[in-house]
Amino acid sequence: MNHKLKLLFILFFSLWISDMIMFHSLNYTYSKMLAGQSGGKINYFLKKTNITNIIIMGNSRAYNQIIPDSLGNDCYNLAHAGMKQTFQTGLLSILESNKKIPNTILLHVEPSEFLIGKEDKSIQKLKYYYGTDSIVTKYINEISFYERFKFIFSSYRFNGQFLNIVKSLVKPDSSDETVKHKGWRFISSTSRDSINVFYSIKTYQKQLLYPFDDKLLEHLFQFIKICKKRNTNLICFTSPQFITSKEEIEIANNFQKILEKYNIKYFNYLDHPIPELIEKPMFWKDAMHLNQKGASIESSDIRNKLILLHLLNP
Amino acid sequence: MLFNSIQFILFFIFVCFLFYLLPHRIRWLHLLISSCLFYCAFIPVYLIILFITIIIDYFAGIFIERALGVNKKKILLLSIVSNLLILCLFKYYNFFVENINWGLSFFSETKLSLLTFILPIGLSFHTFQAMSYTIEVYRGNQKAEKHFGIYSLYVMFFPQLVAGPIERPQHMLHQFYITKKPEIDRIFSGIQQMIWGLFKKAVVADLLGLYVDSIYNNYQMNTGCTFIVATYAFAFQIYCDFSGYSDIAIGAAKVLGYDLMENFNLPYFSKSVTEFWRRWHISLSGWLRDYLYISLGGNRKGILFTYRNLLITMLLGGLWHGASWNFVIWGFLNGLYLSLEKALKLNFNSNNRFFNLIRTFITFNLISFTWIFFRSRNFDQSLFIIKNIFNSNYFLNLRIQDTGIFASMIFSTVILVLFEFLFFRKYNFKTSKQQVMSLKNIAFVIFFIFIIILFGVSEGDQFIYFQF
Repeated sequence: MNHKLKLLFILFFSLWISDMIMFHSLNYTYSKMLAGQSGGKINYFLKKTNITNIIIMGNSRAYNQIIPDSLGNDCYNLAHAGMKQTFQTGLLSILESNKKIPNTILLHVEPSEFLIGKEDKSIQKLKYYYGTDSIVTKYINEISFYERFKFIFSSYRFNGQFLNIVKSLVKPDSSDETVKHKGWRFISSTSRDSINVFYSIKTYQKQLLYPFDDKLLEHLFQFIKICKKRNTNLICFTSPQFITSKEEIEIANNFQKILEKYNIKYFNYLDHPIPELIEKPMFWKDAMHLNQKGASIESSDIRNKLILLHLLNP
Repeated sequence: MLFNSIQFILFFIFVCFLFYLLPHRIRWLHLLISSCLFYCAFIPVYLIILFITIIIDYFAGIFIERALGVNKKKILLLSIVSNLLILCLFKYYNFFVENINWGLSFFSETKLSLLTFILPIGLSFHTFQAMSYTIEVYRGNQKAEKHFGIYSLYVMFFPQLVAGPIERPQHMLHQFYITKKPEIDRIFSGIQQMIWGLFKKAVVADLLGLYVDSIYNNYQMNTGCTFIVATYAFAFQIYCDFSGYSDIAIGAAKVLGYDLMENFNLPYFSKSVTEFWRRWHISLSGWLRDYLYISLGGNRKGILFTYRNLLITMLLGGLWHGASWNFVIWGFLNGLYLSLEKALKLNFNSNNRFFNLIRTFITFNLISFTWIFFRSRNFDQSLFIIKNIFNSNYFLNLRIQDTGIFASMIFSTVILVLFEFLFFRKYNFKTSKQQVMSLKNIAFVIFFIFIIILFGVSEGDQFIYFQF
């Protein structure tokens, strides 16, 4: 029995000590990571840039489509593919605590993501900051009561990022995307794009008209609150789509009314698409994403709008 | 309450502690209440359906034992028909109606209406387990269980309630009467198997699932090589999803002191489809063999009847998985493979490693081909994928999607194959070396806990087999 107890002690002690070693070594390597969507881009922005004018936040439709150089030298694209509002608000909170909030934030929003029945667990991509950033911690705890138990192991903060961290050890340089293109991801056009657009239209699913979910909107309101507190100009926008239903336009227009209550400008490309992009498959990667040619058109349109608002010099 | 959730881990720890604290005479009640709570975590109202099945088969068992001659058979048939009626109503009604409506559409505008309810979780599993009880009582292999609570526990025992293994009463019922003591080696071995199962599910299956879903759900945008990779990925996903569930179930039962049958035995190392079906979902294959294939006559009525019986068994096996023509095709293909192997009398026994490797590779590909039908939403999708696999246009256009996920899924699959090849071919969780708490086994546990922490999909999917 004594032998078994000894082995049990070894098991628990080894678990604890391995967790400590794992956490500290990964933490050290993670903080040196300066590229990629697994936190490297955020690290790069926090440590290596001095952007004071504009940052772009949002999902892949901001990440691939808004070219920072079109909006001047003092601009960075901090958008992350697939990330929803909780991630954006959590990231803004991290920027705030690092005193990295610029004069203007261009936030890409998908109005349909705020409808009843939708889920937003994208905050989990910021689990590295659990316990250190209050908003990130709060949002992760809100996912479920049981979520906090996962953090009993400190190494869980690096869940899903292990190979990226190891990769950054082997190839520590910042990527072209992070440095040269200032966070923007270049999507070249291929001969299959038009086929993809065609199939995207075929499988396109209309959004149904539901009321907005107050809890999901609350994440956006928190974002607005931080911007107001920091006197930052917040511009929301929704990128154009190759195909847009009447319902989606109505949802976007209702969303605009909510933003207007908070005096937030909204570039609603669903209701007011860019004429050059309408029914031109050569500018599209699929029905939702523009390729680099389309991206430069959307970016210059946004630039013109910002000039009109006196947020950018002509 | 999914096995791969914190909720289940907390629930299980509580159940275990209380189980060993309580006296033996009321442990059955504790397990039964825990099983009800476990099932209620899905859709509570379906507990009623489960109880209807339990009541029917409990009394059927007693009456079959008492009855003589023809009456015995009549009661058995009545109980089987009742079970199948419930199964058909919930699982196959809409499928039949859709097909009838399709047939009617040629003659009139009339349409039968569909039912709108969710399939009770694990219905096919507990129905088959309940049916095996009445059949075994009828065959005289099992005495009718008089204790209603113990019989209910046989059907509802939470580790295997929703996705098996489909147990036989001879193997299970007597275990509930044996006093269980907390043996540290056994508990450790159970936890070890649970962690291995959790690795298979939360790491391998769920990571592969992210990739497979992104390809199969947007299949029109993908081409040859991508479909091959996604189909191979699905082959491993479904294996790890289901065998991972079985490992957690067997491990959890072992912690409580109960033995469940092994459900998988390294199926992808099989050198023929026949061997594959001896190693894949062993409890269902055994059920279909003993209660369907042999009842149809097995191989006793000549070659042609053997092929017919194999095909019928596999077709119904396919239909057991779900109410769709794709599952029927999946079952048919497997039946066809089995019949062809029998017809061609292929001899797979060889000591030549290279020959065995080739056989394993061919078997894996034959099985993977059938998974296309299993994974696709409909026949058109399967056809599109198969056509594109053999289409040279854009064939090498491999879509990786997220490089981090792709790298992680390759890494985890390699770990799985390495451990299965180097370790589990010689030992499994039933061998004595695996049953003992040793430094080597502790290292195994720690290694896989960290793999789960670092690679596990924290918002993992429901187990694929829950829908069956």
